Order: sequence, then structure tokens, then C-alpha cells
Amino acid sequence: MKAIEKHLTQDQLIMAVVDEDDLDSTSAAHLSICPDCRLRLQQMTQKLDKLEELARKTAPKPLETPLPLPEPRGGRLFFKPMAVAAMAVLLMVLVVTWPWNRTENNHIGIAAIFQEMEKDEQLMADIEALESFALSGLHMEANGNGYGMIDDEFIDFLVPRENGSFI
Amino acid sequence: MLTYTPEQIASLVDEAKTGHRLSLERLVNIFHADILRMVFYRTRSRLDAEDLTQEIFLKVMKSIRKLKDGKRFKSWLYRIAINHLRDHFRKKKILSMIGIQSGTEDLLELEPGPENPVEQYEKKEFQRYLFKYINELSNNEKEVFNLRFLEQLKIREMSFVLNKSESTIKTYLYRALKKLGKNEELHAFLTGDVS
Repeated sequence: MKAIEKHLTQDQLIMAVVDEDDLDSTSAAHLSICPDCRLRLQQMTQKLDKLEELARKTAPKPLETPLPLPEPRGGRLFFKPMAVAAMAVLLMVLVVTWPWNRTENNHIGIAAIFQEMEKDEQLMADIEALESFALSGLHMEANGNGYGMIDDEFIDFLVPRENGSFI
Repeated sequence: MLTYTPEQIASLVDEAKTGHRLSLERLVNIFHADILRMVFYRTRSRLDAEDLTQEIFLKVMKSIRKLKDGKRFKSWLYRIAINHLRDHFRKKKILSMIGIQSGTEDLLELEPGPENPVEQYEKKEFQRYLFKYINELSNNEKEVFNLRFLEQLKIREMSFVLNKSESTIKTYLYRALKKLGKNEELHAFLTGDVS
């Protein structure tokens, strides 16, 4: 039997399914003239076509809701006129107002500190006064301890002198 | 179903790169079902497939400007999908090793459709035989078989997606088909010889 008359083996048919161009020249020549081998190749290919079709049919279908797409980036943000104008205005505001803001803030800050210090001193003075004169004048008189209101005249009234001397 | 030529796809890609939202949406719509199917047959979970498909397209949208040749969009898209799936399975493996397992279905739950119960049963049987066969393949054979016959990619596209030579792709494909020939159940199902 000539080589060209030899039918393709199962392995050779599989090779033909993968890529018919990879068959050696003799096998390719036989395939081109042999109806039996062509039929076997066709049956193999049809089986695989059916597999493809069933795989497609049994796979899940996409849901109705579309995939959420991210917002387009645009890619030319820096060159948009509105964005450039906004940035320019912001820069101008910062340049013009920044030194003034800083000086005024410093002055305001220092004055406020001095005011607070004065208030603190007054507060301390009030506290000292309270410590020294914790009770009212009435309470102190009842105790016999005044705040300097009992004088010699009052004592003479309470304990009159005899012959100018205290008993 | 509309089919787009590579030139039309490339044109949409060029528009999408400039921020043209409609073109981007159209690209997503063209390939959404294909990617969903691809992910589904690897994860075997509809929920996972939907989440992962969304993540894949988000990656595509973020990096579409980097694609120089719009005609290679399909291969580029599948490469992103394959890499994302690999990351997903790597994470899943780590989680399962530390005891956190994610739920996956062993058998797929088919969506209720207009088909009669017999057709539904046939579909379920097909997927059972298909997964049983795919489980017998090596990882490389599995990947090549899925891309060729479940996603209908060409040898050249698969070579780009998997970053392997065409001869290597053909070798894995050859081995996968040889094993298919020995799988009597699936073979019989596809030839209609199921008793």
C-alpha cells in the first residue's frame, strides 16, 4: 500500500482538527482525496461544534442591569478654562489677603492676651479681698471682731471710766 | 446577533480611549456575555461569575488607554480576564487553607428558561459530563481547551492571552482532544448515543 493510500490514524485526525496545516504532506495529500477520512474528520469537528453550541446555551446570560461604568476621566482637566480661572482666582486671593490677615491676627491676639492678663489680676485681687474679709460686717460685729469700726468712744460707752481709768 | 469585525472593534477602542462613554459601553456590551461565560465555566458559580466579570471590565476600563493596538482588544481583554481569575483562585486557595471557605456549587443551577424539562435535563447532563471531563485535564490542557471550545478563541489569540507559543498551545490542545476521545460519556452525549 502506498503511503498516500494509508488512512489517517485517530491521532492524525486530532492533529487535523487542531490545525490541518500541521499534517505532514503525505497525510495532507491523503486527506484531500479520501472521502472516508474527510468524513471522520467532519464528524469529529461536528462533535466539537455541538460542544461549543451547548456550552454557549447553558452558560448564564448577563442580567438586564448594565455594568456600572466609572465616570470618564476626561484626560484634559488641567486645560479646561473654568478650572484654570478658578485656580487663578484662588491664588490671587491668597497672595493679596495673606499678609494682611497674618498682621491683623497678630495684633488682635496680643491685645486679647493683655486683656485676659488684666482680668486675671483683678480676679486675684478679688479673691484676696474675699479671703481677708470673708464675713460680712454684721457677722463680724456679732462676733466682737469688727473691721476697725469699734473705737475708743464705743468702749468708753460699754465700760465707762471711773476717775479716768478702766476697771 | 450582531458581529463586529476587528476593525470596528478597534474603532470603538480608539473612541473609548478618548473618554467616549458610548463607545466604552458598546465594547462592554459586545463582550459581556462572552466573559461572563468564560468566568462561569471556571468558577461554576453564577454569583462569583457576575462579580468577577464586573471586576474584569472595571480593570479594562481603567487601563484601556494603555492598549496600543485596538485590533488586539479581544485578546487583551481575555488576558486580563485570565490573570484576574488566577488571582481569584490564588486568594481562594489561601482562604481555604486557613479555613475560610467560599461556597461553590458542585452542580450548576440552570436558570429557568423557555425550554421544556427534557431540554433542561439535557443541559444539566451536558454540564455534568463536561466538568467531569475537564477535571481530568491538566491545568494547561484545561485552559487551552476552555479558550478554544468554550470561548472560541483562535490559536493566535490564545497564544497572546496565555503568553505561550502557538506550538505549545497546539500541543496542549492535542492532548486535551485525545483525552476527550477516551471520555465515553461525553463522547456518547455529543454524538447522541446516550442510552
